[in-house]
Amino acid sequence: MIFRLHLFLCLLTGLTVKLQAQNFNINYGFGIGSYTMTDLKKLQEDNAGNNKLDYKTTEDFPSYYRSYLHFSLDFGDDFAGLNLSYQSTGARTTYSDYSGEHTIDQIINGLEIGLFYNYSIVNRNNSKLYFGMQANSIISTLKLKEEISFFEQHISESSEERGKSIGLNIGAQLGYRYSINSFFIGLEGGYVLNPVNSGFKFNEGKSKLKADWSGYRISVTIGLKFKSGKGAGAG
Amino acid sequence: MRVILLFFLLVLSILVSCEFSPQGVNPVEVERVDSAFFTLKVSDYSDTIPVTGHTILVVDLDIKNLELYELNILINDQKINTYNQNEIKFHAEQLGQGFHPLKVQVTTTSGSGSLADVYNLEGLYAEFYYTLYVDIDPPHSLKIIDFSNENGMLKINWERYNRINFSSYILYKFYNNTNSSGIQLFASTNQNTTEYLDNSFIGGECYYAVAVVSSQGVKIVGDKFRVYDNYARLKDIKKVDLPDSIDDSVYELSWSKTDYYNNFYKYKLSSYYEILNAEVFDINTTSVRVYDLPFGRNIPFILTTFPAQHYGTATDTLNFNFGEPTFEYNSVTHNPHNGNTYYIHQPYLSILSSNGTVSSFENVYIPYSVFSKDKIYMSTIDALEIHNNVSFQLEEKIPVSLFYQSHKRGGFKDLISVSDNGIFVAAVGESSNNDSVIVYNTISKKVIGSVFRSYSNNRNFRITPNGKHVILDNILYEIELDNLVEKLSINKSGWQQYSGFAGNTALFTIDYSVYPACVKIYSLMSYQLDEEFYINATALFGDKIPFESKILVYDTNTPPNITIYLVDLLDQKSKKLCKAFEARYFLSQDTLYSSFGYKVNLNDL
Repeated sequence: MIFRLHLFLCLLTGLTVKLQAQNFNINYGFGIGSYTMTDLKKLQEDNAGNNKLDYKTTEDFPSYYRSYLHFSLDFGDDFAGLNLSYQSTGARTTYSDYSGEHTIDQIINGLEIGLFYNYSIVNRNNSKLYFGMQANSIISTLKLKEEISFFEQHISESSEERGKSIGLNIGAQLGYRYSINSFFIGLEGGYVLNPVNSGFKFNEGKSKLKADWSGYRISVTIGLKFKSGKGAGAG
Repeated sequence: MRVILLFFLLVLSILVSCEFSPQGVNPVEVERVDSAFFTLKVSDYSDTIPVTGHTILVVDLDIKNLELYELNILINDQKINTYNQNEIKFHAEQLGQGFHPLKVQVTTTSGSGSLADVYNLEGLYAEFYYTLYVDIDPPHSLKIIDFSNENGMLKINWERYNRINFSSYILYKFYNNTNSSGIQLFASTNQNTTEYLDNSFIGGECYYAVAVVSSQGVKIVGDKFRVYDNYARLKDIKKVDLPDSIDDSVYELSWSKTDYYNNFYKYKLSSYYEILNAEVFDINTTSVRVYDLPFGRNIPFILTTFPAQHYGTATDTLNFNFGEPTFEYNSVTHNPHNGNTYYIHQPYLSILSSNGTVSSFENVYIPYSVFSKDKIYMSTIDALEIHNNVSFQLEEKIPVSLFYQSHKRGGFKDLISVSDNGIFVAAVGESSNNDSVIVYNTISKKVIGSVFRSYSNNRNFRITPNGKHVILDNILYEIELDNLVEKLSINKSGWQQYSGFAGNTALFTIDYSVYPACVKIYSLMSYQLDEEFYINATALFGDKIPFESKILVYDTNTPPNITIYLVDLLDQKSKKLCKAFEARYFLSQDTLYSSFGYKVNLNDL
């Protein structure tokens, strides 16, 4: 968390410097994304299958909410900027009966930092339809959590292990933005490919387990437009 | 600017709170297992386990398909560490006499298949209780209860040994009530065996004792138990009338049948003097015939019943006295070349002097007697295994006419002589006192002499040459005869004529159960006769003896024994067979010399 905060503040400081000379936008997006996570799904399957009991997987890296911040310079028909996004998904394999309960969870969070470029296909009045691309580095954090409880024995144990990896993804998106004064709202969708990932590094060492954030993205966004010099929309 | 910062902070909080939180439960219905359904057996005992020594108990635990977590064995609430591979090992002495609780604690998986079961946090627990009864005290003795005749066999019943430290019964049999060791008849490791059929018992008296051997190997023999029951007994001996036989001395000895017919093997009948020696294997035969009974003494008949096992016989004795004494008659050779040495081991005895030495002999029982002019000296020597010369001395000079009774039947000692006036017999009874010695005229049936005095020389003398045990009885009887010279005209010179012919003398025996006056000698037989001679009995025995038969004589340097048969003159048709005579003769030229000192000129016959 400190790492992410530090990174965020650095970027914010850098952008603030730029605000003095450029029209730029800042927007927050919230949406949903799907994630491939091939290795982790395989791990989850193994967790369920290796038990004598009838474990079931209740969550298997589903599509989940994501959010992002874009800092962009608006050049008229196109705009480009910095992408800072956060996304998360996970899985659960669990079993419970009269004697106890056992859950095996995987939670993976990805923090993307990258650049994007959008080109307006249609730029009319307050509406802007654009197509763009982005490239990000992504820092993945995997939490392996396990909890087991035996009711009659009053035994409850949990464990958590964390691993980190870093990767690179690229994506393409299509979006629409409508501006009202200094505000704008928009809708954006696309696909992200995550071809490069290092193996997760745990305390015990590095594993071959890799994240795979590839998947579709769709989100809504809201932002502020700032103009350089006088007449800056927001301050 | 503040608005921007506020915006960023808001976005930041949204970012960090957007972590995925997995949801969902998977409740599975699993049936709870609350009670144990497995079983446990300890060496097939249900409750109390007997312990008497080194013990190995086998734990047979059936927990179906469950997994055994733990099994604890506790004796006296102390966990034992000698449980291995389903066996509990310990020794009774570790526990001590008495009762000790044995507890088996079993913990297994529950088998429910629940999460806790899989993680070995759920199980079933059961306790099994037994009682160890340790008996290491020495066993107590057992008593024999009773006995019975079970289908012709003896059945012995004894108390059951009820304690757990039982190892075996041993049944002993004793033939008396002394401290002598018994015979082990039977042994059984079956504690319920409390009877035994003894096939060695045939009646009579014996003793039994039962011993119990504990697991620790301690044996306690109970008191002897007396068993007495009927046995085969001699009943009577009666004369058998055989009209077609000339033998008038056939008797029948009878006895009662044994009750233990299944144990029967044989009857053995015997008596002294070798009169009877028979074996009867048929249990239903209860009599035998007896021939040639001697007179004048008690004849003990012995019936011994043998069981299938050849020990444990039952014996019965019946004494019978046939009244009139019967005698035997033998002569003794005079051997002048032997000086003062008396070769008692020789068939014939000659005595030349009152002082002499009896040379070594073995297993000979020889009474001898001596006639003097007016006295008869008679000595008995009973000796066994004499290896050294034995010296003895007679009190009187002894004439050379000697009569010697070789021993044929144990304890039967006679002296006999023949004269014109009859045959004279000295009979010595079983005892050695003077009253048992008489001189008897068989014709007049009168006692004509009695013991004047007796001399005991080395009586019961014992020597141990070469370490051997020797018993010597030497008694000299001096017998005084009435008018001996007149009634016993023994021809001394006759013997002298035969000197130098040792061994060529005659041996003559007469059974006087037939009155001589009614007897004739009608035949004389031998195995090697090639010619017959008939001698008028008168020539041998004198005119006063009305013998009319002739005697067949065989001439040889080593005369055979000659058998003479007597026939009753009054009843020749019946021809009763009388006891045989045996005589030895010597033939020189035409003269037959008898062992009685008579000579017969064969040309006169």
